[in-house]
Amino acid sequence: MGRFWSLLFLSVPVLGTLCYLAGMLTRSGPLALWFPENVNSMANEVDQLHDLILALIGIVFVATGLVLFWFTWKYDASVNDQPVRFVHGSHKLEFWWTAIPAVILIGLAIYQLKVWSDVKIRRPMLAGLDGQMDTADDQPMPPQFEVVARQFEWRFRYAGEDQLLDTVDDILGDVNELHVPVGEIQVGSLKAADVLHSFFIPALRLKSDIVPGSQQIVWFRADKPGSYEIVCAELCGWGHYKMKGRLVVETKDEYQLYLQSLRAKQYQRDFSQPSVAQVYERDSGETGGSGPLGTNLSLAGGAQ
Amino acid sequence: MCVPAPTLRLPSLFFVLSTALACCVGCDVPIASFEPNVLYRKRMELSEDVKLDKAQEDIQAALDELFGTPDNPKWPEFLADDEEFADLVALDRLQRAAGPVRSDEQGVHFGLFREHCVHCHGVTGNGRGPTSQFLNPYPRDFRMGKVKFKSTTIGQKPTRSDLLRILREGVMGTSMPSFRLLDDEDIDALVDYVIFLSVRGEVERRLIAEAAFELDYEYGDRLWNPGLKESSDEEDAEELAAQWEVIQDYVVEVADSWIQAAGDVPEIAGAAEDYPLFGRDNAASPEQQARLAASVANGRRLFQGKVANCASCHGATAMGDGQANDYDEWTKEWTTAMGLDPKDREDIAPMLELGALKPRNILPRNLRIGVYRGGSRPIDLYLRIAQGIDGTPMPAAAMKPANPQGMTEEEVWDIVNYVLSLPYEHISQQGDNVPPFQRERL
Amino acid sequence: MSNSTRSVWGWLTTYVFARDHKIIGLQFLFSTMLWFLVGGMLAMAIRWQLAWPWQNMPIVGPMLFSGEGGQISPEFYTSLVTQHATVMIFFVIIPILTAAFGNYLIPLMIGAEDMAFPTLNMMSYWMMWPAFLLIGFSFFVPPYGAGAGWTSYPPLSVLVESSPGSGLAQTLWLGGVACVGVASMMGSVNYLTTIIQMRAPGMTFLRMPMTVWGLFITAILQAFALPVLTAGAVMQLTDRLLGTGFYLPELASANNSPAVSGGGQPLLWQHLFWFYSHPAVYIMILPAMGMVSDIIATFSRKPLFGYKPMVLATCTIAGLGFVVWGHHMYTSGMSPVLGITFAAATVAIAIPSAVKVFNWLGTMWGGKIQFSSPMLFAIGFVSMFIIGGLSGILMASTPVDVVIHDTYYIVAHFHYVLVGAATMGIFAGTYFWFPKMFGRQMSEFWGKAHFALTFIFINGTFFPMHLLGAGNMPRRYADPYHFELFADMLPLNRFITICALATMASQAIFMLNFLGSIFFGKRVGRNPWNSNTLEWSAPSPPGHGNYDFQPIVHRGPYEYGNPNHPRDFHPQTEPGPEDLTSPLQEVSHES
Repeated sequence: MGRFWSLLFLSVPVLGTLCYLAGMLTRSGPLALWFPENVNSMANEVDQLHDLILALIGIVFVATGLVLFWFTWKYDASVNDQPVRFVHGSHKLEFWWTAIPAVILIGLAIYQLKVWSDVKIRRPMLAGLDGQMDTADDQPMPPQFEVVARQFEWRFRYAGEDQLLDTVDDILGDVNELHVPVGEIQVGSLKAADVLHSFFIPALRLKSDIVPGSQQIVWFRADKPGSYEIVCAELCGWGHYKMKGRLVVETKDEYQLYLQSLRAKQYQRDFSQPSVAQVYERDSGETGGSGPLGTNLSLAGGAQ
Repeated sequence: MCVPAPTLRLPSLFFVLSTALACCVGCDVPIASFEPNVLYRKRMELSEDVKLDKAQEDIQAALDELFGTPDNPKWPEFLADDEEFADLVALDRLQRAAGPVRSDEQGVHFGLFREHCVHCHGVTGNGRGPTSQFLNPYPRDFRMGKVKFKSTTIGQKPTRSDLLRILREGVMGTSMPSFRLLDDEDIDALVDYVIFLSVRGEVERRLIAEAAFELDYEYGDRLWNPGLKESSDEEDAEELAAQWEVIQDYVVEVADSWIQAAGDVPEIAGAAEDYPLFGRDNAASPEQQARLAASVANGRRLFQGKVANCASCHGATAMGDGQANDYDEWTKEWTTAMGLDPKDREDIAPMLELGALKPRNILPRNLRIGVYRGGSRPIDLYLRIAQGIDGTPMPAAAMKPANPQGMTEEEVWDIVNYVLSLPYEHISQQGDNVPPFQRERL
Repeated sequence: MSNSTRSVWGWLTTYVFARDHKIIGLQFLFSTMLWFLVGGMLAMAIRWQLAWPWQNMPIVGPMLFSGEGGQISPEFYTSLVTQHATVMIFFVIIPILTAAFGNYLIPLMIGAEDMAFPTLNMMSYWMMWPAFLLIGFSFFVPPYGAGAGWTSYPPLSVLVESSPGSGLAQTLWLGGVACVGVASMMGSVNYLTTIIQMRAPGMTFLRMPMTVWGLFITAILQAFALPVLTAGAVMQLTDRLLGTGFYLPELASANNSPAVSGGGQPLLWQHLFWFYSHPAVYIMILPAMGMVSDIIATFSRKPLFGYKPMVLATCTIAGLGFVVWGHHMYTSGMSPVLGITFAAATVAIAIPSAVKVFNWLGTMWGGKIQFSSPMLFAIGFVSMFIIGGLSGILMASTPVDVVIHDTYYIVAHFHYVLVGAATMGIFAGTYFWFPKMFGRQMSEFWGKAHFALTFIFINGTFFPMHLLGAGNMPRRYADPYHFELFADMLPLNRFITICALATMASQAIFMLNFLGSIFFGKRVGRNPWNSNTLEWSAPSPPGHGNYDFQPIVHRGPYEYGNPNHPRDFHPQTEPGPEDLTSPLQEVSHES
């Protein structure tokens, strides 16, 4: 029976590795699941960091798995006729297998600092009055859009011509649909109207919980036009799974046109009745729904 | 290897367990029929002092014959044959929306209503799904055929695109989410299904009313006697046909009201294109800004004035604090309309037992937080003011020329501008005797 | 007092309101096993919904949702995930490890007659009952259980109207958690006192078996971390019931129902909660690690490799465990600068964990491994702990965690640690100490069958979840498939569900084996496994007072396979020199 058990333990690293390889390498089939393509050039290093750690732990996983297999195979009492190795431990071994992981892990912790600061700490800056970057005068880039998460949908608002949120010229976005220009640094302000939500765009490697009563700032640069999904990643009530949104990355011109169309639709005067087909043609056309001030905080700016 | 005796019986126990599991897994629970509208029946029984339990069976049989079951809905044949009515609800779309949740090999979704809607609106569209009791406001009961936010006038059915808009945009400030990211065909199928449930529900109500008002079951009157189908007697056949004709008339009448709605959308020529709008023209030319300021000021005057009389409900501060004691018509129907006090628990207890949701007051909107359930475009606000909100205490404005004391369209736009400016206005600008500004929540 | 009332009283104080640590331990064992069944069924319901979304859910569907054709409601799903986690963590793994095994083993393994405070011990068990009743009752309050997640994050958990599961059920949940907290605190004070004060002569700290070390350090963790959670839970209760507003921001509101007060901070709860609940992760693993260390040494017939480093690693894990709670909050809106500190502490905690794994492997190296059921579960523990531990390093890295936080990556990780490791440890311990508890042995054949099926299906259930996580499938989604990103995940989820159902079904073997062996198992003597530790020299099962002689400890617990000793084990109580490094004269060894 010992043979059977050792092989059972061997199957774990073997099948585990195969499972991961299938996830990474196959393109179809039930196991073809891997991170969606990253389109945020400000978070490229996140994927590299993940792959690096995965490689490291993969080696340890396979190595320890093989050792476990080998020991259970070789030292099975029913086949091992050698006397037991009567040892209580080894200071040398203990030292090395403490020191080597320690060096690797602490190295990892230091190495990841830069990536972390890029994605969460160092907010994009604009040149201040002196017109030069990297001086003490730099100003943090103001948010170009605002996300208001509420049970169970995303409402969006764009800064409008004055480049400031919470002013009368803000442009109300479509519900559940955010547009951004391609290749430009975008800063967003996140607010919640009721409970915790989490603004998660897998393709941008971006996730931030939204805490009611405070404002979160996120930034990214989407480099590939297309449509990506927005997911809520923090339990927010019975309809948590319903919070699906769409991020549309488009050229600067298309983006400007979109903002204009939003404005035009907001102020459309006649109420002609479109047929169903026309409504479809306009597709992302219909707008409305959102109030100019989605959340508690936003009013503070507006009511000056 | 030692195997104690009792554990040898394990295989047989396994067999019993797995059989039990298979039984549970295998048993499907098809939803045999739509839930009857017991609340409305009770209401009619109480107000007309009749017993309708026998009629109930007939009504259920007639409805099943007309509209099928939740798993297998039908659109009445005489409507499907008619070109006009066939467009209202298409059978293929109906079947996509109905039934249990599943996808076919091409990835087409079926059972959309039960995937997306049933938790709140219920299988019958009665607004009483399992989640409904926790929501504020309660989900819509489709069976009255009334919709709040629409382009048609009060008392009329909504148009198809009104429903489409609600599905796509959601209703801000309520639990109704947006479904804009569903496929267009899916949304379309759901609109059909909502119309289907509304028509079905309204026909049911009319049949209950018919049974209460016109038929006397004590004397053997029958609304619908499917037993006669078996009979070869000619008289019986005639009776059956007569019964069917009455039912058919109701169905056509209800379906027709949906067809008529499309033609009922009033033209809003409104003010001239260059009439200032708050939000659009705040940074326009100085003249335009001056006109806007004048429009907002006029809007404020009208808001507080006697003709529009907005302040009586929405309050002098527009915070929705003018009154807070009213109910919507879905609630009134089984409470105040029949002399029951919605606040008196004992009074309404029998109704609650039948599945009515605990009455909640309908509150006037707080206009200072910028959340407008019917949509935040100026045109949406215009419609709410000019045409009112069906099923609620919000009336349609009295308008010139029909009403000489009423308002002009420009004046309504002035109110729209004022309302749009409210979230940005200091409450202290109002001057006298208003409570300190306290923002209410979404 | 008449004879009969006296005997009823006697029966009550012996078996119900018992003060004997062994009875209390068994009471905990049986109660937690019942809850294990409940928690397992809840898990099955969750898996059912993920494999066959919105289809008739067997048993519960027709019972609760007949109007919808047995299709559950989404809020019921959130209740399912909440209650599953609550039951498994608070009612199963923590009490079974610290209270069932802790109570039973600590006095026996250190040579004490009983716990230091037997009455307190009894009260700690009976404090669990209010919790059982409160949370059991919450299953009957619509929507059939609290629904704010086991983490109970405000404002969702505090705003009563914010979600169906935030109503009365949530109040009951908080009450239950507060009671569990009090019960565990009573227990931990008792364990600490007993271990420090009541060791048998010769039982120095460094002669204690790893099981006792694990339980000792766990008791310290509980004693210091639990008051925080209990206080936090009471604050949340007052937020809900009295409107104190500790966790609610200004103008909090949901579902058109404003809160009565504000001015608090939702993140405060997260800090308090994780200040307990991260150490709780170690509460759930350290005792299992200790038991597994003992079992591996026993069945490798070889001394534990690196006893002192193992003790040191346990202490280090516990110490660092207090300063890593923030790694649950990298994306929470907490200052990202703070995240750096937590990340450094978190990767550091991987070091002692690695040391432990290497030492277990070192123990097996050059031994004579006997594949008994306890040993198989112990090796299964090591195998799965490696996976759970390693994937933790991915999560420790702040930028990577931003992507995988709250996805199935996390679900896979903590299930490998809690099901793969802790539960395997529980099974190992149960098979190992069953002869001591009942004087009979569990069937080895069915034990091995149980292990093979459980090991295969647990891996089948949780390993593919890593891939779901890599595909970013979020946790707690009743239906992820309407997202394009997750639409392709249905087949794999079905596979996982089938494995989960099979795991659950395999536990029937264990249940029948366990219950059957209590009455019909093979009778065994004091030391069926030829083990060294102290409890094996007591009668099986031990009577009141535990020992029929005064145990005196002569050596450490791991003297197996000494070539200079005629037998391959050398019990701690056996008189003789401390170690036998040189060939010795005859040693008498009557037991």
